Amino acid sequence: MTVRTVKTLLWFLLGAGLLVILLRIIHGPGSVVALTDLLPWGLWKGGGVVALVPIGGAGFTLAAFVTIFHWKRYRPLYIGAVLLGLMCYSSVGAGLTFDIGIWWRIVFPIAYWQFHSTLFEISWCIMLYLGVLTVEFGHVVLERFEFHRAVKVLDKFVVLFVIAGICLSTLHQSSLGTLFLATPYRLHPLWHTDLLPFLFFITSIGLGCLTISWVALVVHRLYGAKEPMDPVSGLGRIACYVLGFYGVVRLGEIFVAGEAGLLVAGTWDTANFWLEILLSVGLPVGLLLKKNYRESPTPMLWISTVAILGVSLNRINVAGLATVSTMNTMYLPAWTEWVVTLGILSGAGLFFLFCVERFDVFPAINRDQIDASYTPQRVDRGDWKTIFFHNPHSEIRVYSAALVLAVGIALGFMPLDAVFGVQPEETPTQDPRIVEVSNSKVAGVPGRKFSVPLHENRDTVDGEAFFALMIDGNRDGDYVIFNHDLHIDNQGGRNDSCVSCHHMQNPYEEASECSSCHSDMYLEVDIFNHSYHMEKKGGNDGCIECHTDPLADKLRDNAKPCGDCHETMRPGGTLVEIAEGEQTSLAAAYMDAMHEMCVGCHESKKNELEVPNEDFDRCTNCHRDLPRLEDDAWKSRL
Amino acid sequence: MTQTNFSILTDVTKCIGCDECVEACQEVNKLPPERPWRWLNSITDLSSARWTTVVRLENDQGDRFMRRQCRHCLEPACVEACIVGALQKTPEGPIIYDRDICIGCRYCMIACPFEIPRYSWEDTVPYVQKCDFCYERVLKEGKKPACVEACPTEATIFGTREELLAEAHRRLAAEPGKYVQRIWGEREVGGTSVLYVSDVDLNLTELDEPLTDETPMPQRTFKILHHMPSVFVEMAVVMGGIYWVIERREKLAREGAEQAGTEAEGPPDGDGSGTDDGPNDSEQAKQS
Repeated sequence: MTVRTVKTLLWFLLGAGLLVILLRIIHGPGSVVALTDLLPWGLWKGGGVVALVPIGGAGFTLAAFVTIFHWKRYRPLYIGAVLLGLMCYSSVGAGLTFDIGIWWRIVFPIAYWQFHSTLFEISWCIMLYLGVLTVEFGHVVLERFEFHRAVKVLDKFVVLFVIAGICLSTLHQSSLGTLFLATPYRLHPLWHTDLLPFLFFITSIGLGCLTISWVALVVHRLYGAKEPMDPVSGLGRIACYVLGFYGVVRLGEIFVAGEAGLLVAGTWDTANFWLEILLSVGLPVGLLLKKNYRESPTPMLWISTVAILGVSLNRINVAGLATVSTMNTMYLPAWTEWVVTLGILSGAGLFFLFCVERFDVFPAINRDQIDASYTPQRVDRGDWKTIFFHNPHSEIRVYSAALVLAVGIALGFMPLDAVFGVQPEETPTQDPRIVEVSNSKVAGVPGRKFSVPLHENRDTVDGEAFFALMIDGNRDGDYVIFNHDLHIDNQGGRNDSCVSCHHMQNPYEEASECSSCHSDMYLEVDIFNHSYHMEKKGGNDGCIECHTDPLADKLRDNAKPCGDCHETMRPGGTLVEIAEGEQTSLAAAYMDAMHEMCVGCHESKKNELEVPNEDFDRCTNCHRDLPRLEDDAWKSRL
Repeated sequence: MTQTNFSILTDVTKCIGCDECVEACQEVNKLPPERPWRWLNSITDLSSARWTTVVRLENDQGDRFMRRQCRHCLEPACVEACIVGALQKTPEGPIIYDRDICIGCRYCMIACPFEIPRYSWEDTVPYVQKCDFCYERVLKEGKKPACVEACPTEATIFGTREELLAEAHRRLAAEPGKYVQRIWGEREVGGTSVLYVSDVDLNLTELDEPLTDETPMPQRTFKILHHMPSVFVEMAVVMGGIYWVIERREKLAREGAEQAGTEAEGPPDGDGSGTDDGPNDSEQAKQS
């Protein structure tokens, strides 16, 4: 692949990523991510932020090797590693800025200090470390522009910056693991361990060696320079030891914690775990042990690619993917999440190549070398027409086309939420169905029961059948049997009643909710609970207490009036008047009581506003359960 | 420990699942209308429009209802996690949220052991959403929390934690056959301000495994975090020491080479002969 192809591809990804970021700014993070309340951190945070930090670990690893340990063999890769770190941490900053809910508050941790927060510590370390990396790389920039005195001053203090950088890196690389000690119940036990900070720290060293190797190999190939195999093979050897050690500690911890059974559990998480171990430890360590693999460029390129994928998978797992199964939730990253992560990385990649072409990042790639293989576009002095239309070799033209094309294509595939703002899911209810319902007395059950005759054995239904609507307004499987005809009658007949339910014009509704009139749905219970009274009176021995004449049939009509026992049932001064004859009967069914005894009177007394007991209309005073149709078999027959 | 710790005791045996608490909460906190958002499994989940919800527990002896809401832990994970201190534990116990400084990192959401905080994903400028114990209302207006006030059966009651613990123990002792002899929230993750008594086993979380761990959440991260300043210093000393030793050794070697003049046989150790492998160097550095 030529430099131009690579850059075109990067510009393309950058364009798509920028579009996603723009839409995220306009419509909020919810419009472009597939995250949920139970899985609030996903690919963007895991891949675009958490995983990039160990990749940027190359910066402090090589700084320690070269400056502190004086391992001069690695000096050719040192500046590249610093630049890689700078790019990774800048990407972390950019990714984090737009991942958090309120992006302009990314600077708030500077002002609002919370020393107990792991995130607070990490954010400060990363901010300071970005400064350190800038100073370290600034050295090269100053050299390039020949600020000799500044370079001299910097040389004196560079060790202090390097040491500060190493300390800051130690802190935030490990604290990134500490972050997830707070999720002991969410995170799958194969990943959750108190060693997380330590594991995160050592992988960042091992992976740092391999990421700078990967970058060096790719960039040297791209510009036709000879790969620096001597430092790369040395780094390969260190990475092999460190990642091998990591693998031993990781698996050892699982055995010590007695979680070895999970390793062969055959679940999705086990597969994920072994894939991660294979990519981050198994393959890299196994292959890096071979000297001839370490010393040849193509195997090293593949090995480091695999290791980067493996360790990134580890970070993504810890940050969210390995919590999916314990949380009983589902998460498939939206493509916009991939694009934004890749887009930000592409931007960083472009800047990296820009620096490689203009500064002495890798000693083997000098300006003569670059000119021989590829002439980067210098600042074009022509006017815009020349640049865009008359110069067939104009790189700006190709890159602009890639960027615009990416924006166009991405916009075409963009989910509607991202373009128009987040909309509620369309979860249409099944239309209310008209069913034949009977209101009947069922033997052995107190009260009257609404039943759908098709569902019941027709013989047991003795009540009067009528047509009603079955409504499941909140889609939870509980149905309300709605007698439309009765409501028409109660609301004033065919001509006048419609408006009272269908045209109240509340937002989002076609018909008013039942609860706008009924503070609860009506239920299949009597206000008089026969079973309860039986129990209180001592079962079958207690019949005589209410059905006072032992010789007469046990009927409502000859039972003792409620008022004889419940003397305080009707408070003094009540407006409810009960005729002498009604006193002897038992309580009316609740529906009948409300609709026939109360509603009429309340309506006629409406203007007097004298309600004896305002809580009496709370259905929940008596109703303790909702009806629920458990069996779906009847649905097919409707 | 504070003198007054606002608490709520929910008695699952008394809850009838009427949702009055939910409606009262939505009304008092002026929550937006409930919509079937993409990220909700069910519209009755906790969400930005529902700071408390009633969960139906399927049970052999008839269904039970348990209210979910922020438990206002005595040692809250979310407060510990918050990067800017937008979540604060008040002296009276409730954990309140300052939406003016929240940056939206959502660490509180993954740190909470009960999966309580929710996010208003639907908004361009989203905020964390959770029960605040009607803090202003309780403290300034001297009322009960809206949910408690709305409960028709006194299934959920308000008081100080000491009072309610005593009441819960009284209920457990009065009807030992009825209740499971356990107060949920008394000791989990160091204790919470929201307590439950029940006649069936409860799971306070959304996970399969009920939470029984009594370790306070903040200890899990802070036990590591509080070492960080010393790690910083130690690392600096070690790195500075190694640098100083190697630098001095190289300087001596250089001087030695200069003195030896033409007699020098070859480059001394650690002078960066390219074939030397790193780890050997460092071992020698430590020995010297």
